[in-house]
Amino acid sequence: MKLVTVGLNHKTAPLEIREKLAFTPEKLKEGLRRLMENPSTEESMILSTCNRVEVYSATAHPSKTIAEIKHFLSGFHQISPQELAPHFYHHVHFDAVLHGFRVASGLDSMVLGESQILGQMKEAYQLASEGGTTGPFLNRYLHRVFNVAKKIRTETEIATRPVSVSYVAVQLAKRIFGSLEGRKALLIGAGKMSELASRHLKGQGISEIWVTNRSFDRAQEIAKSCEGHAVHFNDFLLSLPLVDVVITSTAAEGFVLQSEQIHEAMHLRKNRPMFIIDIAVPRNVDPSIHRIFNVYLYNLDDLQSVVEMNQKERVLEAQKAEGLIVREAQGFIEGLKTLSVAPTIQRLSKKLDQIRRLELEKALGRLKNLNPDEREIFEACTLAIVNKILHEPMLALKTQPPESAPSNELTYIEIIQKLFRLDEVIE
Amino acid sequence: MNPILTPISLLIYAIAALLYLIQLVFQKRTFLVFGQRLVILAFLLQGIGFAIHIAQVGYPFLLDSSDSYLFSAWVLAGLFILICLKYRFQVAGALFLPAILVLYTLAHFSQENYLGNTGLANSPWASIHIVFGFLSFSIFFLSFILGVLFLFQELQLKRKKIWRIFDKLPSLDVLDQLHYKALSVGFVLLSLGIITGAAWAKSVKGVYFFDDPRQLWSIIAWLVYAFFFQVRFSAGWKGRRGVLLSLMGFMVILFTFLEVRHV
Repeated sequence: MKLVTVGLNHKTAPLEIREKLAFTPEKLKEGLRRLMENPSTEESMILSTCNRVEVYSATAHPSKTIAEIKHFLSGFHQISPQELAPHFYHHVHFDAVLHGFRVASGLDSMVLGESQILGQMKEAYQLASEGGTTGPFLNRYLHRVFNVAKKIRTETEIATRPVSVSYVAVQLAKRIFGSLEGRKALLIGAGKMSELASRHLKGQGISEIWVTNRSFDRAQEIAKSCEGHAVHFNDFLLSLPLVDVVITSTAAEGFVLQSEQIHEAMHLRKNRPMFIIDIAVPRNVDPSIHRIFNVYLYNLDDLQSVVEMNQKERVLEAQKAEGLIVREAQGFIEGLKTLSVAPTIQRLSKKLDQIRRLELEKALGRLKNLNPDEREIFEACTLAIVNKILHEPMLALKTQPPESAPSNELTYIEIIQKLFRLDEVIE
Repeated sequence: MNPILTPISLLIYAIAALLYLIQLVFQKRTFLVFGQRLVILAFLLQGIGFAIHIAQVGYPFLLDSSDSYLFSAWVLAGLFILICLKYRFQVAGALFLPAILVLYTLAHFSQENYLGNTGLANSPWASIHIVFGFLSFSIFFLSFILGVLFLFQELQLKRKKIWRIFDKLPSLDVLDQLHYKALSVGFVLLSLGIITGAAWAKSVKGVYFFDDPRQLWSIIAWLVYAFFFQVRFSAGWKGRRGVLLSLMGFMVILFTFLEVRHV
C-alpha cells in the first residue's frame, strides 16, 4: 500500500484556477464519495483551502490512482484536463509522505510557518473519516502528520516571530510592557486603520482607549465601537500623560506630536515608558521623539523592517525544519515496512477476546445455576475456540515476510486489517 | 569547604555555563532544559556541602573569604533557579553561570581569614555580619545582571533591531521591576551588614570602626544606592538612567568586597 498526493497550490496555479477547483464542505463529501468509486483507490482525503487543493490517497497502484484523481478533479469541477494539466503536481510514497508533513508544518505555505493550515488539515481529515473514506493507512499517516507538525512548532522557532505589521507592533509592545492587560492607549486619527487598531488593542487586553480626531463625530463613533472615550482634538494633549501606547494615523501634513509635548507628558507620567506607533503617511510624529528617555517610537517602515527580519529568521528556521521532516518521513516509511505483524496480531486477538468476553457474559447471565467448576470449563472452552480459530491466520501472518506480496496486491496484514476492521479497535 | 562537593559542583556549573553559551549560538531548547537541571543539581550538592561545613565548625561559621564567596555563588544559583521558575529567563543563564564561575574563582584566590589573629571571633556578631554582607553581595550581583539584561533589551528597542540571542529576554517592565526589587532587598541587607559590622567592631574593640577601608567603601555604595532610590521616586529615573546608576553602585560594591585595601 502506498501514499499518493495529487494537487495544485498557490505556487503552481493562479487564483482563477484554484477557485474553480475549491470544494465547499458539502461538495467535499460528494467529491469523496465519487473519488472512492475509482477501483484502485483504497482510502482518500481531500484538502481544500484557498491556497491549495490536494487529494491524499492510499493505493496499491500509484500511477493508476494518480491518473484517476486527475480525471476526477477535472470531471468533478468540469474543467478540461488540458487546462489543468500544467498546474498539477503529484508525489508517490516517500515524496508524498514528505509533502504532507511539509504542508501541515506550514513549510509549503505562502506565509512560511503559518499554523492555520494545520487546522484545515485536521478538518479535512475529520470530514474524510466521517465520510468513511479513511482506513488504517491514512489514519496512521495523518496521526503522524499532526504529530510532526506539532513537533516542528515546538522544536524549531518557525512560528515564534510574527510576520505581519500589526502582530509585530503588538509583540514590540509586549517587549516593553510585558502584558498589555490594564494598559491605556490613545488613538490619534479615526480612520480605517485606527478602527482596526482599536479592535486589536482591545483583544490584547488594553483596559482603556481614548480616541481623538479632528472631526469629533467620527472619534465618537470609534470610541463607541470599542467602549472607549472620545476626546476633542484640542484637548488630547491632556490625556497624553495617562496613556502607555499611542497610535497616530491622521492625514495631517506636518507633525501632530512634537518633541516638547512628549517631553512634558513624560515628565508628568514620571518617565514611565511610552510606546508610540506612527502608521500615518506622511508621518504624524516628530522622529526625534525616539531619542527621549523611555519613549519608543516606531513608524510604518520600522515595523516593516522588523517584519522582514522576522521573515529571514523564519527562512533559517525552515531549513532546520526541513531536515527534521526528512528524518520523520524516513522513519514513517521504515515503520510501514514492518507494519506490522506484531500490532496486527495483538489487535486481532484483542478484538476477538473482546467479542468472546461479551458473549460469555451474556451466556453466563442466563446460566445462573452453574457451579464454579462448570463455569471454569465453560470459560476455558470459549478461550480454546478463539485460539484454535486464530492459530492458522496467525501462523500465516508471522511467516509471510513483510514485503513478500507483489506490489499491486494487498499483504495479509492489510487483508486482515480490512476484514476485521481492526482500525476501529485502536483505543 | 567540602573538599569533594565543592569541585564537583564547580564542574557541574562549568558544564552548565558551557551549555548556556553554546545555546546562544545554536538555539537548541534541549540545551536550556539540560543546563537548568545541572544548575539545580549543583545547587543541591553545594547546599549539602554547606550543611556539612556548618555542622562541623559550628558557630561562628563562614569565617574565611573563600567560604564566603562560595556562599555567594550558592545564593546566586538559588536566585537564578527561583527567577527561572517564574519568568522566561533561561537565556540569562549565559550571564548567571559565568558569574557563578567568577565567584568560584574569587573563592579560590582569596584566602583571607576574617578573624586574623585578633580574636575577633569572640563576638557573636561575626557570622551574622558576614552572612548579611555576602547575601547583599549576591543580591547586588543579581541586580547587576538584571540591569545588564535591561540594557540589552532597551538597546534592541532603541536600535529597532531584534537580535537572535536577545530575542527571548523578558520585557523591559519585568526586568525593571525585578532589578528594582533586587536592589531594594540588597539595600536593606547592605544596611544590616553595615550596622552589624559596626556592632561587631564595638563589641570587640569598644569603638564602632575597624581600621578597614571596606567600611568606607560600603558606606559609599550605600550612598549611591540611596541616591538611586531618591531619584527613582522624585525625578522618575526609571529605565536606563536608573540602571546605569545602579551599575555604578555595583562597581563600588566590587571595590568593597574585593578587599581594595591600598587604593
